[in-house]
Amino acid sequence: MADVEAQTRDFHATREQVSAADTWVEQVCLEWGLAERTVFGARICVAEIAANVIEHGGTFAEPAQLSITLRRRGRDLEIEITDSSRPFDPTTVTDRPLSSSIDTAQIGGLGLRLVRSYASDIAYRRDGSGNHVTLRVPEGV
Amino acid sequence: MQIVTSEDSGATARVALQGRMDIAGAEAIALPLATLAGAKQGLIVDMSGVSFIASIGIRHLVTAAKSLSRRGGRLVLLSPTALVTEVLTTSGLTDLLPIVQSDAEASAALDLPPRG
Repeated sequence: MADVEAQTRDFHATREQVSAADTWVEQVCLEWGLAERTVFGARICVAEIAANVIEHGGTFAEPAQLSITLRRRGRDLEIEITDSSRPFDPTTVTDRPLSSSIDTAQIGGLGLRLVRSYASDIAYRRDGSGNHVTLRVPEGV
Repeated sequence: MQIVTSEDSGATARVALQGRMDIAGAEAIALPLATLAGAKQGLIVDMSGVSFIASIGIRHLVTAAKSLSRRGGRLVLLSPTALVTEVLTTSGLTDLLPIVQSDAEASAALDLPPRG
């Protein structure tokens, strides 16, 4: 049996297709027998990166393309997300401070904070096919 | 995602969110949640049926809580699962609004007499 199994699927950066991607990520992770929190964390990472692409990349008429590759590394998961939209490096985004009261709380800006709570080795590169984000969701962080 | 009202006494209501609160799920309940938040003084949201929540879901909960707070009201989250609670904690929501594990605590958080 191979130590590394991988699956890739392509999606449009639309709400419906990102929801379908979530279903696919969950299904693959469950097939690979990964821990519940690893599966959840993988879904968070994909959801948040895809949400940024929906919000900042592409247009309604021409949504960006997402390609998601899942690689099993033992009990850990590696995720690579490629999107065809404008340059965006999530590793350069700093977290906003959290508020201490509901009245001053900001709406939004939490996505990458959540990604970092589940993922390690977050890396970014850009080439002719667009943005490439890779990260690892280790078991039991 | 679905939103199901289990109690509505006029000033306060109790709803249950069921399913995943991803970008599509959050959008499905956004309007009913916002409508309730704008109309009530107290809103208990039973989170026990929420299987997943991403930051878009947090965004809608914060918006609803702010809407209630502006009018002197309160949003209370009831019985989120451990994995969902982790997202709520990382997002700082545990510092912003009551997150409780029982109906009695939920009523108390809204300053209501206990149910039953």
